[in-house]
Amino acid sequence: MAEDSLVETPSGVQVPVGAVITAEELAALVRAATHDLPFGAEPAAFLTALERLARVAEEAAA
Amino acid sequence: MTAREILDLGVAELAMRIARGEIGSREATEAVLEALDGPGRALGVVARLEPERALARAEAADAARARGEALGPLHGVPLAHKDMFYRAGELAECGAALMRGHRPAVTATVLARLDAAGAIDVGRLNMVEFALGITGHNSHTGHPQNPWDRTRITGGSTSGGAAAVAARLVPATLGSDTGGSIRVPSACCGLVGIKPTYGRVSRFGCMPLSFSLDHIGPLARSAEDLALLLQAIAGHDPNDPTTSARPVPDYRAGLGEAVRGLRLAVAAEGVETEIDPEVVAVQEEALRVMADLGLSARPQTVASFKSLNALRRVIMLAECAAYHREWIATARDRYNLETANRMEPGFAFSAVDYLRAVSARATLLERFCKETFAAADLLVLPTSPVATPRIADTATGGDARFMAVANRMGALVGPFNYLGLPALNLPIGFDANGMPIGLQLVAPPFAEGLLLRMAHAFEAATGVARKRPPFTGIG
Repeated sequence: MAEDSLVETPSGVQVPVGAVITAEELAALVRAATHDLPFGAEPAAFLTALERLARVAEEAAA
Repeated sequence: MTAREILDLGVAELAMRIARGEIGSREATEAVLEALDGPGRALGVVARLEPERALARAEAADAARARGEALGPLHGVPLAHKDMFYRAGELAECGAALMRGHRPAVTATVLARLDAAGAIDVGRLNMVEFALGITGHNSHTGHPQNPWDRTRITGGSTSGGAAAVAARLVPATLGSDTGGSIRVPSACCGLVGIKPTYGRVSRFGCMPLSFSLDHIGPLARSAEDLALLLQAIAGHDPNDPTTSARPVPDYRAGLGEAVRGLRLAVAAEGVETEIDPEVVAVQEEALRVMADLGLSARPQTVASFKSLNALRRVIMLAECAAYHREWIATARDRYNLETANRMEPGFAFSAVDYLRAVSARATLLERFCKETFAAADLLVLPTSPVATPRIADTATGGDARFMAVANRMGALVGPFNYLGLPALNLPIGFDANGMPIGLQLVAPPFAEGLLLRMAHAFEAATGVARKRPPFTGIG
């Protein structure tokens, strides 16, 4: 199939095959990067991590 | 003082002279409006100007000063911003044909805070369509030109803002950065630009590209000017639940603190991107200057940038696709090719992969900080690994060649959107074409003051920041 042929996506939008290939490549990298990480951190955990790590850096610099 | 002399002043100097009564706010605002309307339009940076409102506010600022009232640290200083910062009832077209006539109902917190600090908002500057692009191309508005070489790109997506500040048309501007859109145009145009920590600056009333990754920050010609603007906009905002309640330090007061003894980690293995030899050479010279300032440097292996960029792109493209779904399904032909082509993979991701990328952020941030900042205060690496390309060479309609250039230009900046860490572009020299080259400084969370202090010390030690491009509003 040519890379500019359109295919249906789960979101209901048709995109070229090339875009699906790019998405699959990126998804594979995400799976490789996260396969050994705990899942369950809610988005807000990122905000609290930023604040906690700021305190760690400040204490180390003091 | 002549209009040319006014335009050559930075924010701090202009604010000081207005406060002393040496320059009127109306005089400064007229100079900026004329510069944007003339050279600014020639450079392709202007979306629209609001002279009546701006001059009325400038006159009010002058009247307040005459009464002995100080409106704030930016009293009477004219500024213009990317066309994605909303002001209730006024146009915000986001560089997009689809947004023509869009008048939001709310005012961005950052604009309200600049107003409160006394700044004069003179209008809006061109940007990449929906802020989705790092090169600066926009067929709807015309591609803004780089004042260092008008045949070359400005970088994006804060394209018009970066070119306008570099060309001395306006002293500073606000940008947004989801994958380098403050830092890369700052590097291409020879400016300092800071992407603060995620949560340091409110995104309320700003066009969203990817709410998990969007950051708002200023671009200016000096670290002191950057400090003044960041001071005005930073801090908790009840309208943006992601903002931090941490107190905002006095950035300007911290500029003069010593940098001697600071430890630099120079990103080496892990960046997984080929860096142009002349970018490497200019970075090495900058590190020699920093050594003379008393800093130590050592190479640092960093987490895989290929992985961090993939994590960032999955989040950005999925969130962007969700935002644009109805429009792209019904009006794809109204997007620039570059925008639509970049966005399309986002429609094909699974929710599981998106959520795993989001969920991993806290863990990967903790690992990154432990590895990088255990024995270093700052991480340094180039902002862009490539020399600034020509507009004609990259205006290829969003094809595979364009994507390759865009992805490479963003390879060293995107990881810090995913990690939420503060990062600053520092102009450090020029390539063989006379185009600016930038060094990226990255700090632990909420250590913006450290970035500004380092940039200020480097500026004082070199003349790089004082060089003017060939095309300016001051002739």
